This record gives sequence, structure tokens and C-alpha cells, in this order.
Amino acid sequence: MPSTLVCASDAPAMNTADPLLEVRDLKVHFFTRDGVVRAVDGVDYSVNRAETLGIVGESGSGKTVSSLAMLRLVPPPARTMGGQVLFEGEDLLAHTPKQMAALRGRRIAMIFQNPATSLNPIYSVGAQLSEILMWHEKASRRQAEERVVELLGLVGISDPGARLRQFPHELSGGMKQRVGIARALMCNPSLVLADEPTTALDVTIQAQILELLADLQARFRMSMVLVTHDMGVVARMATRITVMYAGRVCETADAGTIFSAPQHPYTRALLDSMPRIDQSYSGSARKTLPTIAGRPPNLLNPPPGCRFHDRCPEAMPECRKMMPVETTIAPGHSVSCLRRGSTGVAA
Amino acid sequence: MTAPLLEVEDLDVHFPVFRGPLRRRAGTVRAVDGVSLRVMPGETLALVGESGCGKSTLGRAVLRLQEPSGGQVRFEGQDLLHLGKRDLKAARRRMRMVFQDPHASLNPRLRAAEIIGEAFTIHGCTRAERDAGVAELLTLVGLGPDFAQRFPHEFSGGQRQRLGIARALALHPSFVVCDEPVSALDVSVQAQIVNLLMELQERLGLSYLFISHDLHLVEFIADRVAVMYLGRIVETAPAAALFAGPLHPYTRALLAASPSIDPDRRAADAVIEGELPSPLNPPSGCAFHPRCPHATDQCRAEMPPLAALATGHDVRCWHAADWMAAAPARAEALG
Repeated sequence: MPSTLVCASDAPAMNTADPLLEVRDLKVHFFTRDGVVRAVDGVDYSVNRAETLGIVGESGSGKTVSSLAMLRLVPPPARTMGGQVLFEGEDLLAHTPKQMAALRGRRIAMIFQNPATSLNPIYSVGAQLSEILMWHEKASRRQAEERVVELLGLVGISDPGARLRQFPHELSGGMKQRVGIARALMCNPSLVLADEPTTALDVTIQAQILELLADLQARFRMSMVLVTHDMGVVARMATRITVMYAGRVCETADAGTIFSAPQHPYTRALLDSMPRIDQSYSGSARKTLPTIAGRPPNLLNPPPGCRFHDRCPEAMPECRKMMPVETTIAPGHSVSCLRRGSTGVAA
Repeated sequence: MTAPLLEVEDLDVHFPVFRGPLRRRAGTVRAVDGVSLRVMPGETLALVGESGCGKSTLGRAVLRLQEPSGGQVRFEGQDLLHLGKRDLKAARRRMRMVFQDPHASLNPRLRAAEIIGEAFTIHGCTRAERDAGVAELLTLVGLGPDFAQRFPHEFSGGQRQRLGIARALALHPSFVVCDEPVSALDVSVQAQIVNLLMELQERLGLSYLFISHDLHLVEFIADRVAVMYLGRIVETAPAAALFAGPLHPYTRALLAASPSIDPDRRAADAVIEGELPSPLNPPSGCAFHPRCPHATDQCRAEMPPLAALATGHDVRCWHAADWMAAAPARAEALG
């Protein structure tokens, strides 16, 4: 397979004002029996053309829900409560269901976490992939199947003509995810949302899939939103990174900056708490990892002020009362932290 | 030199596979095939590999939670595989397990005190001993005696894993098998549990068999590392030697594939082709040869032996001596 792979994070940060997608003040709440869970509570980010935005966060940080909300796919009891999702100038939250159906899979496509459950087990690979073209572009079955064969070849599946007739259970996990990627690319989307695309895979297969994604992204100049909990994966893939915590954005910067000069205390603590393959650990007598005390808050009843304050080593009294507003501290680098110059709003 | 705490010789765990309407025997999956390893007192041996390589089965087999098909397991001088029920029960006071998923491995209908206290009851302790033990263990793992009357659902993921660790430490074991103890936890909580495990090891002189697929974590926690591929150990070495100069092509691929947050290491990414072969029908010769960029005819025909290349560094590869000669980083790091 040709590998025209460049380390994504080495590319210069793109500060061009040409966002393909802009998410503004997005709010998604879950209406549960126990109360309202503010899973996504005022989130802003943008994706430029031909770049990969990595969204990282722990479970419950709202990273998956916010990306589903972009496609208007949040399931009940969740509801999108406000904000804007501007894609190529259109507000997707104002679209009719019919307009959304015409857009999903064609202009914005999705790659799911678990390839075993995101493919339909009772249709052959060829049937479920060609359906997309037949639906969106009114292609004939033959035209659609030609395109499927072409794409299966492109994602590194050997003998694509024969695979067309196979069913998902006949494929390995890595192969299924390759089919999932081919499915996302059927209509040449300008944006691909990849939600933990390699979490279910083994590490050597993960490396293959990440290489494939980076390769395809560069080749077709697609934009990609990569949602993951794995800092190593975003380090490998992302141009810019947004770090989320408890339903809010902590920090956004180009990938190099996030790893070399993180500003938000949560980003710093998260990076510090991860063991690195690094000589300095070997041989020392007693080793401890720096930890983040406590655990992520319950979003039924989030802490007032900054949501990280009760675990933050730098918290001051204001952090308990004021919610920090995301503030740009350098070109392309924004942080939500009172300690880093953000203004606060009473919350 | 002290005697090893655990010695595994040539251990096999084979599963028969039945297929078809008559359930004919279709073959054997050699989940663990001729594995030998040693764990010294106070040591952490990490077992790494991808899913299906047999690392968890091996971990269960050394505790006889899974009955091995052949080989020997010696623990504290006793031959475990030939112990009667009563002696095995006594030996199990000394060897315990921490499971991967703290949600699935704790009985939701028992209170914390009952979960931890069960071991005391089974091994014939009095009620007073049990209650004192439970309180002590809860404090030891950083929860505190107030948690004794709570049910697992009242605990967070990290707290549940602390409870799982407390259960494993009841009755003063010397050896604990930790099967992916932090992989179900959030990143910010993982570090807390890793620190706890290391602190307990130092305080109580525990030995760990630490099963993990996270190489960054393994480098941090392990004294020695054994790498498994398709039921066999392909490389075993002290952690420092393995990470400074991995010799087996599979170990090198695994290290290269493991996503790193260190910018310096990202350039070295190398991807190996292909996928894990079916254990029902393993490749001839060296099991790694279909994916190995250096495979030769010899690799395709004959299984290489696990050969010692340096003190404590064994590699199962016909060309290991070449990799050894071509590894300047290793020579530098080890002086």
C-alpha cells in the first residue's frame, strides 16, 4: 500500500479563517428519571478544510455526544438544547429531517467504534455499501458495485470482487473496520467523523488502520474529526486537538502545542499521569505516576464554577464561583481557565 | 540466589473444538503451548501480547482456574498441578487474582465487607478475625472502613478496582495475577491504581504476574517482560533491556505500533502487514513468519527454539543473533 504518510502534527497549524465546520455553544442534555444530565454544556470548536481535529477526553466528557449531535443523531432521552452547527455555512440544527438525511453519509460520513456492530449482519458487504450510492446519487446497482469494488481495493482489502458477496461475520475485526472506512468514503464526503475508530482493535491492527486513515485523508484532502480517549492516537493523527472535560472544552491548540506546552491544568495533569515509553523510568528505585485526585464529576449535579476546580492543583476561590470563558491566549490556542487569563461568568 | 516463587515448565492449555451437527472434533486450539517462565519473590513479570495470544489463559492456568493440559507449575516449592483439593485450597491463600473488569467481577448483591470477608470465612477464620481483616484491607487500599457496608454499585470504577485489590490481598498472598487491572478505567484513574499496586508490592513484598497490552504501562511497572504470540513466548527479557533493544521482529513491531505521546518516538512508526493467524490452524514453522518482514525459508519450515542471547534475554527467532549484532542502541543502553 502506498504510504505517503507525514506526521500530522508536524504540519504547521492552520489559522486560516476557512472553517468547514463550526460548532458554537452546543448544548446536549439527557432528561433522565434522576434529573437533567448536562452532558454537553456550551461547547465550541471548529474544523478547517483538510485537517484532522482530535477531540480527546475521558468517558463522560461529552466528546461522543457532541459529535453525534452534529449529525443530529443523539438518541432520546438526550436532546440538543441549543447552539449552532455551521457546516459549509448552513446551520445543521435548523435543517429539516429530510435535509439531514440527504446530508448524512454524503457530505458528512461517520466511522464507528465497533466494526462488529456497525455493519448489518444480514446483508452482504456489497449490498450495504452499494445501497449508499443508490440512495444518495441514484446510481444503478452495477455502477454502485463498481464503486464499492474500487473503494474496497483502496482501503486495502484483497480480492475486492469476491469480498462483495461476503457477510460481515466472514471478515476479521481489522477487515470489518476497513469496510467501515470504505462505507464512509462512498460519496466522497468533505468531513468524516471517526468515533474511536481503533479502540476495538489490537495494537498492530490499530497501526494499520491509522496509517490508512492518514493516507486517505491526505489523498482526498478530507477533514476529519477524530474522537478518542487515547492521547497516543491523537498525537499520531491530529493537526489540532480539543481537550474536553465534563461536558466542556478545556483547551484547543495545534497538536504540537498540546504536547509540548499544554496550558490547562487538566491537560497537563492528564499528560503527566500517563506512563511514557521513556528511559528515565527504568532503573529508578521507587516510581510513582503523578495522579489527578478524585474522579470526574457527576453531571447530574456538576460542581459550580469551573468543572475541574475540585481536582485542580491550581484552583483558587474564584474557580468555585466563576465559570471560565474560552479565551484565545496565542494564535490558534484557546484555554478555559481563570488562572490562564480567561474571564469568568457567574454560574 | 533465592528460589523462584513461581516456576512454570512447558505448560500447555489446549481446548478441543467441536464442529458440525454430530459435534465431531474439528481440531485443537493450543491457547498456551509449551510456556515456561519464572517469577522471583517481590518481582513483577509482565505478560504482553495482543488479544487471542493466550496471555489471560496462561494467567488463569497458573492459578488452576483453568486446568492445564500438560506441564508443571511449581509455587513456593509445591507442584500445584498434582495437589489434592485440600492442599490446593491452602495454596490458594497465597496466590490470588485481580480481574480486568471491576464491574463484572464483583457480586452486585454482596456488600464490600462480604466480598472481602468471603476469603476469611472459606479459610476458617473467626468472625472477629474477619472483621478486623476487612477493616484493615479497606484502609490498605485507600478506601477506609466506612465503605464496608456499601454495595458495589455505590462505588466508582476506580473504587471498585480498589475493592477488587482488597479482595485479592485478603489472607496475605505472596503472588497476585493482575489481568489487565486498569484497562477498563479512565486514564486519570489508571495512574491512581497503578501507584496503589506498586505501593502495595513494596509494602507487602508481593510478586505480580501483570497481564497487559499497554506497553507504556508495562515499561513503567515491570521488572521483566514476556511477549506472547499465538500461545508461545517469543521474547523474554528484563524490562530495561527489552525496551532499549527489542530483538524479536514481533516485539519490535508491537513497540512501533504502540501510539506514543512522545514526539521523538512518533517518527519511528512502522506498520506490519497482516493479522493474527487462526490459532485453530497455526502457520508452519515460526508462527510469526506470515507477517514477518524478515522471514526466510527456514522460518517457514521450522519452529525456532527460545534461545538465550544475553543474561535473562531469550528470543524465539532464527535470526535473533543478527538482530543482536545490529542493535547499537541496546549495547549503549546496557553498557
